[in-house]
Amino acid sequence: MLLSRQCTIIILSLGMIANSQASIELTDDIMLSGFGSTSISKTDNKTPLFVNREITDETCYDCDTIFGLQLDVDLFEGLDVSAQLVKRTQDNWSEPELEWAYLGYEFGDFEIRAGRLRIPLFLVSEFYYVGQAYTWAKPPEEVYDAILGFTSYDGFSLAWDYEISDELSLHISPYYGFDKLNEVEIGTDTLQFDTEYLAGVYVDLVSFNYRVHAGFMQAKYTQRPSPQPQTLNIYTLGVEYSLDAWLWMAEIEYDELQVNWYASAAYAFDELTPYLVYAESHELRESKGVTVGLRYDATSTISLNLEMRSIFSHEPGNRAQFITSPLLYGEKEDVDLLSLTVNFVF
Amino acid sequence: MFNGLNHKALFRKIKLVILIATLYLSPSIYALAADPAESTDVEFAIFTLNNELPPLSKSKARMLYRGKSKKIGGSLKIVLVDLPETSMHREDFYSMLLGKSVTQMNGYWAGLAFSGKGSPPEELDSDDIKQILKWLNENPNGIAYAPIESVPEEVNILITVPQGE
Repeated sequence: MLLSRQCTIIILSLGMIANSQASIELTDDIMLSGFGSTSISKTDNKTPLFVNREITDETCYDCDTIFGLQLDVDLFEGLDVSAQLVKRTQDNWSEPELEWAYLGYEFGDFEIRAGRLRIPLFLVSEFYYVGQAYTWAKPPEEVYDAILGFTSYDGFSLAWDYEISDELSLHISPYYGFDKLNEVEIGTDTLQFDTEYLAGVYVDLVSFNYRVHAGFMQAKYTQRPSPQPQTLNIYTLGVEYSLDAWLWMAEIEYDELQVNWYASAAYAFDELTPYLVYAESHELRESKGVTVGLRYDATSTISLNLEMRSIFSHEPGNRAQFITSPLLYGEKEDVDLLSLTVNFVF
Repeated sequence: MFNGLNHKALFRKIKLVILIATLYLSPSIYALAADPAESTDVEFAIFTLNNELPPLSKSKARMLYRGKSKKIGGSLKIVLVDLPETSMHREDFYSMLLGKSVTQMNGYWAGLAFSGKGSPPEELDSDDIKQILKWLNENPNGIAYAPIESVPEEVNILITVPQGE
């Protein structure tokens, strides 16, 4: 009973990965790699917490489970294909999602990509599902769930890289997504958003120890069954700065419905990295939250996160970071979350 | 804070999992552990066999090894190679150049690789200088690093670390 099947699977897979190389080179031009995360999570509130995860006061072994495979193929100089198949937190193992699949062509300082691509709104958007690549167990929901966790679009992007100096480079990337139906399950309901188009641009200023990321995206959509189209203009700004063992990050998201932000600090003592995150959501969701966490890098490809999180809301009836108002469950507005997460890459 | 009836059981489970995971992984952790006492006054050379590559500034070297730049002189695409993860030189090199551990570097590379922005440097089987020179021979735009005393005279040293230039 104590050591459920889930734990056994985690431990066995840890053992396998611990001794394997970080990615598999099938031939010189074909590379298969993968990533995953899973956790044991529990809150002290019956209301399901976080869209697409829905963690409650019953110990959950698969609320945060992600597994992804990425295939990269170099066709010839400058032309490559990449595909990522991901079992996201909300997916069943039998129904993973093709999170991206694109053809990319690089010429000089430009790169054009076409296919299914990742919406590049935030600092870690492009590796949102790869827990091993960031310090936290999961990116702060206050900001990253602002658009209900939609992460991909079907369309094309253009990127231009310009080296301003030896230590500073500029990256500008406009993108456009065509008509697509996005669905999100909230409890037993399915919300359907028919996106007519989305268009955006992001600008990155990159140095060896910092990155500034500014984004804008406009989306025109209708939420079924309403026939009324709506337009959402989203602005994002993120800064990441590292000095020796410190890593500071802060991001803000703003659109017609809401403002959300977080600030995070982490300090790496060799394999142990304690971190602290403070986050706020306003208007659409009203909450303030603190996360205290510890990441343990067991090997260079496996890490554990122990996280304690408290989210407070002072507006009764508001859903805050829950999937719906806690009043519907006869619950209080505040919630504590405890989770132990394992991340790996190969 | 957790008033649920079985929170104690949850903590017990968590402890158990950490314990088991730690025991399970400990052989590989010991294998990776380098002795920091020996690693104080090494000097590294970042070098190539290609005489057309210009010297690197410290900033440029840092950009290249953080995977944030792939080109030299605006257009020449270069390739990096890494020493094996068990090599003490690798730990020392990244700590001197970037102030980062190998573990932190692997995290960064995971972020780049899984966002389609680059792939980590190819990793050699050993940190023997013959292996490094062999790889450089096969990769005309290749750049490697090694302790400066092991580097032969005829190579093109782009920068030394930590002294710079």
